[in-house]
Amino acid sequence: MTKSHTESKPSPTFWLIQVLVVGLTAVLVIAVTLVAQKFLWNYTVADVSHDRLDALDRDAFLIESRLRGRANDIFFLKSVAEEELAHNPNGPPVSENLRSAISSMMLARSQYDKIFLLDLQGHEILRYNWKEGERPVEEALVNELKDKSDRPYFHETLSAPAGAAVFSSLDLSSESHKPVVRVGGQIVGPDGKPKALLVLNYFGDLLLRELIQDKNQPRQNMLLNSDGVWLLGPDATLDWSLVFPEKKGSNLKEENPALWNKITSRKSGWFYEEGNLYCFKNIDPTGSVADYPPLRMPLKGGEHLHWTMLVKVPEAVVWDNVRDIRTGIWAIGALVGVVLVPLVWFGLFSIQRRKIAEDHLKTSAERLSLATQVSKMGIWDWNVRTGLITWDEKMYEIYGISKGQPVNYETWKNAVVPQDLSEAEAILQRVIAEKTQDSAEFRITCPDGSLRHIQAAEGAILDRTGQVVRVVGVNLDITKRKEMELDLHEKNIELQHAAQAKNSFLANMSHELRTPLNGIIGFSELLVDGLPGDVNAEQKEYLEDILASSQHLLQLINDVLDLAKVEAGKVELHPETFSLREAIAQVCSVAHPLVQKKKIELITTFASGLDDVTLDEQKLKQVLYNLLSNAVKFTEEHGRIEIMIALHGANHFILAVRDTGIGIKPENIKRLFKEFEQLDEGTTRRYQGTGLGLALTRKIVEMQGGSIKVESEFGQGSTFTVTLPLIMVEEVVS
Amino acid sequence: MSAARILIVDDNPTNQKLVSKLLKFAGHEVFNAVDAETAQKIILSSSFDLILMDIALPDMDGLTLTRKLKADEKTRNIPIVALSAFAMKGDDQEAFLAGCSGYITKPINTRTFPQQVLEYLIQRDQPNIEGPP
Repeated sequence: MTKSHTESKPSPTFWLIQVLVVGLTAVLVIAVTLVAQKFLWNYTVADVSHDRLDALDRDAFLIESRLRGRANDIFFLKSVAEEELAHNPNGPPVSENLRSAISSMMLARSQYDKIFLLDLQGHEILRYNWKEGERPVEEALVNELKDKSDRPYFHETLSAPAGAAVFSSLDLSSESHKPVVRVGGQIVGPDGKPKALLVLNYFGDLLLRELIQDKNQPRQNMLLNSDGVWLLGPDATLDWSLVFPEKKGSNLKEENPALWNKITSRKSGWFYEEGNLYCFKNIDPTGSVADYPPLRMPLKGGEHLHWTMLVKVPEAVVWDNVRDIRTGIWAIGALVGVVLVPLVWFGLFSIQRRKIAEDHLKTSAERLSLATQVSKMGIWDWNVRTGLITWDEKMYEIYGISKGQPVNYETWKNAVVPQDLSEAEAILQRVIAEKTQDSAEFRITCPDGSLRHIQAAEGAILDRTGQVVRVVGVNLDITKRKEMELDLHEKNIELQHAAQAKNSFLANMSHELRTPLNGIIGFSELLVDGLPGDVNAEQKEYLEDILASSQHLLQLINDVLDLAKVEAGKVELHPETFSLREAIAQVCSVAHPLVQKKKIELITTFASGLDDVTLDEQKLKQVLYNLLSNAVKFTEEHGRIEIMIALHGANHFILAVRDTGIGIKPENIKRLFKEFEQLDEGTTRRYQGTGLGLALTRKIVEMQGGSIKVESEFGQGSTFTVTLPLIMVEEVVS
Repeated sequence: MSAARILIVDDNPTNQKLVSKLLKFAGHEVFNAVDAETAQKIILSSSFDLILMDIALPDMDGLTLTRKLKADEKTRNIPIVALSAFAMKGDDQEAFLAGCSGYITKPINTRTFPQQVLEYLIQRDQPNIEGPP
């Protein structure tokens, strides 16, 4: 059995499943990778935020501690000035001790732009400036002293409680144009009244050192005051917006109120928005300084020093922290995808292929099972190496052995009829020796004694080295077929014998019937002819009757013989060219006595342009004579018979015989040309005949390539029409 | 050609009688034999112008007898005409092969029979014109 090509081809469903599963695998790999990315992102964002928030805490702490340090500084200078006043209550607030304390503080700290004293009207009475160079601390000349009564810090400090340190808002120093924080304090005399105001200009960039050191572009560390104005903006151009009129409008509170609300609603925190990570911390350095336990004076100015520290980290920067891990995840995802997808593809493919193969195997097994069941075919399998033989159920059935009984080579050998064994074994040996396939037929005897005919086929099965390992074969029980064949053969021989017997019977019968007729006819003729002497008229008439009857009998014998010959294909035609007109005239003259006897009118119509034909003349005469004698036979006295001959087409002619006889019933017309058929028993009795005439006539006509038909109306008469070729075409009579 | 000596070999007495009568009426001298053995004796004892031979005879059949006569120097020149009720195709062929000069089927036509016989007698007078090889 060959494997069908279409069966082994995967179905569209196969490919659909294949593509779906592989697609799902790919999607799964991508999804897992994306989820891993998301986890990594969440982790990274949190990590980065915590780092940044820690940094903000540290920065805030540094700012607070620096401000605390300034409070300590002003406390120290104040205490120097106030001690001088205690010794000399009416002296000026400026003493040599104060000068030396201020200048040494400026030198020691290097953090002050200037330190100055104002009188209660806001005039500078002493000022030290910081200059980079050999002598960084320089006392301003008297004419350089300015009136600062219009400055907010002057009023703030003057109106503050006596012991307070006043922190001004962060802005640019008018002289150096550097950001500064002003720390002010009152110098109080022994009478408890302020004598002068002390102000330190502290460098803002020192205060905000860590924030300012941010060299990122755009800047990540930013600082806003409580009005949302940039102190340190996203880039340097927005810095100190509050003191530069041209930077007006660079106010986050106005530009992005939502963001502003978010970062001011809590003390600190972080969130991710629109591609950026925001970390923020709201600080109140002066407030926290005020609570600082070691300080011995209250601080003032907190309302100006509410700041918001804001860190803005772009997404890319966040990712930079984990760039390698991120690349790694993508790489792993891609690698898994590249490896897994083809693996799944081929895995699934082989699973499906195996499934299809299993289905085919199952289908084949079912087919084989059905085939063997239906065909009564047994299968055996002989392991040549171990000698083990396996039979299927059908084999046991065929051999008439109960199922499951162990079988071996001897089992089979003993079952085979001895006369058939050597040939069957020889074929089996040949199959093994030549590693081929062959078939055999043999008979077996079953345990119940019945004989069975087996048709067997067997083939050698080879291992990889080409050695015969097994022989597998089938046994088909063909007993019934064999019996039928034998039966048919016998019947055929019988039939041949019967045919021979029929022929020899016909020959003998003809001989045996003709022999007495020879005497009857011969002596009757002798008497009629008066050879032995005259007979009287009555005797002569009776002798004529004997002769007529004898002639009829002879005709019957001849018809039977002729029909037998035609049927046996033994009639030979001898076509020759002759005059149709003359042949018909001869037949008419032969039939004349019969016609005359019944006083029948016989008319012959012969179409012009038709005379010579090439046919078997004797057979044609026989046909016409048969039709004519039939017509006479079935036509009453004084009836009429017409013979018509005419051309029919270019190559044929018709010969019709019409009578006014009894006619034929429609239901009888079909039977008319069959052997031994006469219309009915009554007819047979009245109009003698074997019933062979028309059958013979038809056969003779057909042999010559013609046809015959009849038209009849019961009680009115019949017309027999024969169509024949003008020139006979030799036909092979089978 | 006038009277001829004719031997009729036929086991059927009626047919024997009919043919004898007809030939006698025609003026021939007629002899009879009912089987092959008798026929052989008569043939050897006398001379004949023609033998009319029935084919179905008891013991030896007519064709065997014909072959014997044709094989014998002394008798091979006597024309033999088969006279048989065997009318099947090929029966005549067999007779010609056996050595018969003619074949007349039974029942005979008494009106033409004498003429047929006469024709075979004439043939005998013109030997080697026709006959089996």
